[in-house]
Order: sequence, then C-alpha cells, then structure tokens
Amino acid sequence: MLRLASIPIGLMLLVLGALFWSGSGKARKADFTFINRGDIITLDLNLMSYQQDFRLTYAIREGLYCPDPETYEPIPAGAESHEVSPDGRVWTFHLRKSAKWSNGDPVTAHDYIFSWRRFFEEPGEYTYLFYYIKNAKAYETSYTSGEPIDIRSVGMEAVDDYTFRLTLNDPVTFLLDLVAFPPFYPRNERSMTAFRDFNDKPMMNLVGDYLAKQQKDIKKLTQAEILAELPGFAAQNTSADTKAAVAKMIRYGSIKHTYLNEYTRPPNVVTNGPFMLTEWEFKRRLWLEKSPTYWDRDAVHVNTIEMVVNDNVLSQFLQYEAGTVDWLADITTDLASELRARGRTDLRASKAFGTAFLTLMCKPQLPKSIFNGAKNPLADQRVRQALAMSIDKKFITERVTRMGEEVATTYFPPGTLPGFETLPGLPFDVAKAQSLLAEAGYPKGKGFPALPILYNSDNPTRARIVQVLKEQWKQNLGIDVEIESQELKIYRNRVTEKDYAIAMVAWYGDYPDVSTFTDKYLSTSLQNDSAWANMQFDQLCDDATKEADAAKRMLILQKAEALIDTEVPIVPLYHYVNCSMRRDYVKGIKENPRNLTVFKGLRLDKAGSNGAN
Amino acid sequence: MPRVILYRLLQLPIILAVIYLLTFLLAWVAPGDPFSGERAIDPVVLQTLREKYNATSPLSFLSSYPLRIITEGSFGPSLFYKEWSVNDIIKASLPVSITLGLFALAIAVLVGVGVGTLAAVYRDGAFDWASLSISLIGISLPSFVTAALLLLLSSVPAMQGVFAVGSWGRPADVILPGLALSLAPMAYIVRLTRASMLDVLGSDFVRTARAKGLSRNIVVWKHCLKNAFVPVLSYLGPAAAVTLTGSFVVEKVFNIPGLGQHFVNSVQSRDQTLLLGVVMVYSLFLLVFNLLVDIAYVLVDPRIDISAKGS
Repeated sequence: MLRLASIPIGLMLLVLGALFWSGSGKARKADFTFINRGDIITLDLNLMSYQQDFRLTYAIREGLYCPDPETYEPIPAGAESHEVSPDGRVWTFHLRKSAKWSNGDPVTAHDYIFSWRRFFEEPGEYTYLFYYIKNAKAYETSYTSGEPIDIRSVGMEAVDDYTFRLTLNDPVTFLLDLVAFPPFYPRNERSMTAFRDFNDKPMMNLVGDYLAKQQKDIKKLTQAEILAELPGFAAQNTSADTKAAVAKMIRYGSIKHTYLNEYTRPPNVVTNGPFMLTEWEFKRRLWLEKSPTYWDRDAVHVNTIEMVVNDNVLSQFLQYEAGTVDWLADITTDLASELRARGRTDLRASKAFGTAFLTLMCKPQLPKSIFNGAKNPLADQRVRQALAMSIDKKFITERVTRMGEEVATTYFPPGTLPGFETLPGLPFDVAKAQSLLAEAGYPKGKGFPALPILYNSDNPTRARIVQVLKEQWKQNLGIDVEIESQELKIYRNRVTEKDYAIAMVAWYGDYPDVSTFTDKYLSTSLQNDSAWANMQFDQLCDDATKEADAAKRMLILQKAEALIDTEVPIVPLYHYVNCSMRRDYVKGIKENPRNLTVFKGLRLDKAGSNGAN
Repeated sequence: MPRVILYRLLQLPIILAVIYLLTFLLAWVAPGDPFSGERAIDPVVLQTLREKYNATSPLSFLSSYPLRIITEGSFGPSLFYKEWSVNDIIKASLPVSITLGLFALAIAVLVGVGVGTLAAVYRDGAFDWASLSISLIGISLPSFVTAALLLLLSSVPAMQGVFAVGSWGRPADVILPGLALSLAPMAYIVRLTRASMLDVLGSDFVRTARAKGLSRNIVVWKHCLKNAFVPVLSYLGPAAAVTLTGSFVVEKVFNIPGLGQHFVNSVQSRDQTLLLGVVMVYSLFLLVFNLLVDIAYVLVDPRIDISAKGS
C-alpha cells in the first residue's frame, strides 16, 4: 500500500516544485496598479500603433512638448520654449538643459534627430506624420531606393546641442500637438548600439575586426563614429568591391541597419520620462519606478506603478472587483452598459475622439467577389444619402450600445476640439430617404440588389447593430442586405483591399486636429477605404495645409468635413464613449476624448499612503 | 527493446521536420499577415517589416528560420510580439502550463482510477453511480463552463482571500484551474478504468487469489490494478501531451500566462514563427509521451511486446 501511496505523494511534490519554478517570484504591491487595455504589443517607437502601447510610453518617455496633466494641451517638457517664424515654417526649440536620460546622459538635439531619422530609414506606420518636414519624404524615398539625398537637407537641424530647428513645407498650426505624440520622441543612440543589426553583415564584420585591432568595440560606437573610422578601414588592403561599398557609405553618410526590438526591454532600455521600466515579465506584468534622473521628479507623486497584463474581459473585471487593481483603463461597452444600469459610481464614461460608422464602396463597379462586379448602386450619391437618412441611430444607442453615446450625423466627433465646429449632417428622415431612393431608380427598393454588409465576428456589439440595420432598411426602404461576418484579420484585409460593399468600421483620431480625420478621405490616401474621390475636397484640404492662420484654417476644414457629411461616402452611426473603472482615490487621471493618460500627474489620495516624493 | 527505442528516437527528427513543413504551408496559405495593424498599411512599411523578419516570401522564410533551429536552437523572433523571441515566450509560458497540467493530470489519474476501480468493485453501488455522474459531467460540460463556474466561486466573499483572481504564483492559484482542466480526462479515465477493471475482475487468477485467502483490497489494488491500467496508460500518452502544453480556454478564463493561449493567438495574429514554435513543442511532447507510454506498457505488463515486428 505504501508503494502505491508513494505515487500520489511524489506527484504532489512534483507539482509544488513546478509551481515554484514557474511562479512569479516576489510578491510586492506597487503604489498604483492598473490593467491596461490588453497586453503590450511593442514599445518600439517605430512600430507602435496600439493605444495601450502609447499609454505606457507616455509614462516612460517624453518629447519636446507633452500633454498637460490637467488640460491635455501641449506644455513644454523636453523643450523649455520655442519660437516660430512669421510664415509659420521655421520652428526653433530650446531644449531643457536639465533633461536627462535614465542612464544620466543629457538629452540633446542629436537624440531627436536620431530618432526621427529612424522613421525615414525604417518606415513605420506613423512616418507619414513626418512628411510635414521639408525633404523628409524625399529622403525616405531616396533612402529606400539606395541612393539617399544628404540627410542635412532634411528640415531638422541641431544648431547646437540644445537648440533644435525644424523647417516645414507648410505652416503646421498644430505642430506642438504633433511633437507631443510618441513617434516624435527622442531616443538614445548609444544605449541601442548593442542591438544594432547591419544589413551588410559580412562587410561590417570586417569593419568590426579592424576596429577591434584598435581596441575599439563596434558595438559601442554610434553610426557617426563608425563612419569616421571608415576611411581608415578602406585604406587598408581591402578588395575593390569593399572600397566601393565603403565609399558609398561615406558619401551618403549612412550605413543601412536596423535595431533588434530587444532594446526596449529592461535592463537595457534607456528612457527620459517620469518613470523607468524596470521589469517586464511577458504576459504577466510591467513594473515602473519613478525615475531619479527625471528633470521634474519633484512633481511626480507616485513611486512605483505596476501594469498587470490581463487579456480576458471578465477576468479583468473580477480582478478589479477583488480589490487588487486601482484602475481598469478600458472596458467594453457590453460590460459598461450593465454596470451603468446598476449605478456604479466608479464607472467613468467620457466622449471619445472616435466614431463608429459604415463605410460604403463608392466605385462605379462592385468588387469582383460581389455579384461578379456588377454596377454599384452605392456609387450614386442619392442611394448613399437614402441609406444614411433611413437609420434610426437613436434606437441603436439606446437599445444596443446603451452607454449614452451621442448619435452621429458627422464623421468628426463634435465638441472634441476647441475652435472647431461641425456643420450638421444628414438628419433621420425616412420620407426624404424613400424619395431619394426612388429618384435614383429604386422606388420602394425594387430592383435594389441584396448587398453584403461586413463586420468582424469577434465583436458582439457590431453583430447586433448589423441586425438592427438590416431590419431598419427593410422596413424603411424596402431593401435587403446580407449579413456577413469574417474573422478579424480577414475582415481588415477585405476592407483595406476594398473588397466589400458595406462594412462596419471605426476611426479614432491620433492627434488633436481635424486633419487626422479628414486626411483619411483624400483621394490619394491609403486609408480611403471607400475609394471616394472628390476634387473639391482634396483642394480644400490642400488649402488648409497652406493656411497659416489657425481660425481661417478651421473654417476651410469645416467646409471639407461638411462635404463628407453630405456626400456620405461613410454613414456615421454614433460617437464612441471611453469607459473605464477608476477608484475614487485615484486622482490625476481625467477622462478625456483621446484617452490620454499623463502619469506624471497621478496622485493617490488614500489616507496615509500618499506616495512620498 | 533498446532497439525499438532507438528506432523510435531516430524517427523523431524526421516526423518533426514533416510536421514543421506542413504547418508552415498551412500558415502561409492563410490570408492575412502578421504585420498589418488596425489600419491600412503602407506597402513600403510592409516591405520594410518583411525584410527585417525574413518574411518576404516562403522561400526566404524557409531558408533562414529552420536552419536557426538546428544551429542555434532558436525559433527566431515572434513576428507579432516583436520584443520577444519565440524561445523567450516558450520559456516563460511552458513551465506554467506544465505545472497546471501536472496538477490536473494528477487529480484526474488519482481520482479517476480510484473512483473507477471502486465503481467496478462495488458495481451498481454508490461509487458506480458517482462514476457515472463524473463521466457524464466531465464529458458533456465544456471546459469554459466549468472554468467560468469555478471562477465565480473564487469571487464569493468568503473565498476571496484564498483564491486570488487572475494571478499566478502562489500554491493556491493552481487549484481552481487545475480542477477545471482535470474534469475531462478524469471522466475518460473513470470509464476506462471501470470497464477494464470489470474485465480483469472476472479472470481466473482473481478467483484463485480470493480462494487462497488473499484480502480483497490486496487483490484489487495490488494485482488487478496493474492489469487494468493498460488502457488508461494508452489514453494518458496523448492526454498528457495535450494537458501539459496548456488549454486555451482554462488559461484564458483564469488569466494564466501559459502556452495554451499562444496556440490560438498565433493563428489569429498570423505569427508564423510563434505558431511553428508552439506546434513543434506540442509535437515533441506528443511523440515523447507516446514513446514513454510504450515503454511503460512493458513495465506494467511484461506480456506486452512492443518490438516493431510484433503484431
């Protein structure tokens, strides 16, 4: 019997041992614990595009200007002050001499140039924001083709270590908001050199050997320093090919390379923000500590922050309820509407800088996969207007989403940008919609093809909304639509490749300006899923780019926005609401349309433990 | 037998290579790619990313990554979690899944064999009824239902201190998810044990032993169990591989940072390197466990001959 009992005992010991082996080590409590939207995808500035990544970056990094903790307007951060030339094209930033990296190095203009240059040499999703800078696009295209123009001709210049001058193509009235956005943040080149990966490995290995003979480690030198050594290397007994390649590198002032993403992980990562990333346990947690080298450390009230990784919606909520988490940064509208109905005071909702809408295919022919490329009824503006005016959007926001969202008649969410007003869009008018449809040649919906309406299968709210839309269009216009759900990646592919007729989509603004919405529908824009082309709209947007007066610019953009709202290449449904759960003692996190979190202003008003300086 | 083991071990790399190739082909055929984000991606950006990760074409992928597995033992960087290499991810999550799986298997085997044996011995009695209930519940209830129910149990005020929600690291954290995971294998093991035990209990040597005067307990637990265990053993091989590499549902519900979530996530995000990495780990487990089970057959029942030529 004892031999038999030894088996379960042995197994249990194995299990306990394995538990300690896989356990998460020390159990300590941070001053502030929160659950971000999901897991961090990447912390590399070049590749970042998800909101949770940006949120964490605001805690650990900082740019020339940063959002103010109270008003979210850009205030001086890495820069102390700036000047603008009268024509609005030349901006001179005076950098803060007390700003330091987490390893003690001073933050200089060269760090900004290095980081921004990376966006041209290794294009990322937000490289297009840099095109405002003179010759930036030309440099990027020429670099990709292998014959880059001189980097010094690009409109960013380090006049001296602490003076950074930008020359733009056109006056950009919202430049301060742009430089407060993470893609414009600086990076410390020397801390990343160990992760540099040269494209031409065989040759750079030879260079490395040459440098090693002189007691220099290639892995510790910046690109500029290596370039300075190249003439000496080429003068040695090297082949003609190598000499030619080296001459090319010296002429263009660049050695093609990329950086392994590991540079963003502790302990190697060097940052310049109010907090430092000290630990990152994959899929479990990130641990931030107050940075001792941050120039404004006296204004930081919290010492440690823990970001718990939890992808499961229900589990996130249960963790919050159990009391281990102070802030649940994003919750789904499903859950939020339930909590709202129960009157939870720690549920915070605020209007978001985003809109849910239907995108309509505007090309004259439907895509091949739909009725074999037949004539597209949506190409007729009157049909689109009829579709837009026959939807009872109030029904959707009151019965389906139930978070008090604002019904949308415009693409841009009104009231989210001071100084910009939208003109009213198309109203809910069934009679008018029916007459428009009849005018277009489909009286009472006769002869109108049953177009497919596409959405992503993992979104239950959208599943319900398309059902409502189908019902409403049948009732109000007499037309049929076919509901089509696809897996997320396939759905995204279909939309970006314009292989759809009607699709349910969303758009959030990246930076506080109208152009983050209107630029999407330029006829040349990659993001223009509707293939809508209106020359007047393009012209208005172009005029706005060249307008130096902010108020006049807003009026031009108002006209442009109105074109979208009346020609309806997209049918706006409602404006999103950001929902989160925050305990009352968490102060300094104010709900705002862009869902920005400025961790610098975070304060915990618990009696007793206030987070010492 | 050593020849059989050697033969099987030599087959291992070939089988793994074939699995790798087939998985890669399937992954490549699926529409969508790992680099597209929430908005339309600029072709230049896409090309840059593809070059950086050697994913410009099936050939470029196949010519760089499989070689690295053999030379460096590394599956390469994850195409989606760009900061982490696949090896890092597996190293961080496999121990968690193994722990959970071991616990679940231990419960499943101990309870399952115990209840199954007693059900056979006290046929039509209380234990038989219990075994039938367990099997029905375990087989019919989907794992996400049991997991969700247990999760709710942990949030009951009286239990809150004991079972922390969504965390991992303390001994108590393994109990609820382990229970949820163990129900399905337990159900099978109960039925298997009961059926084979009934079979063995009817054999002649048992009657002889009882006639000799041996106590019932010794006959059942010391002699019959070994014979009855063989079918359970053959089930345990694949079951161990499946359970130890993590269950997606249980890990998702309890927020456990194990390997199971990566099976589904890597497909959804088309992360080819991670997908291949986890499939390789799973295949290795499966093959190794099947081999171990075959060896165990001989230890449990010396009458069994597993040499390749035997029929």
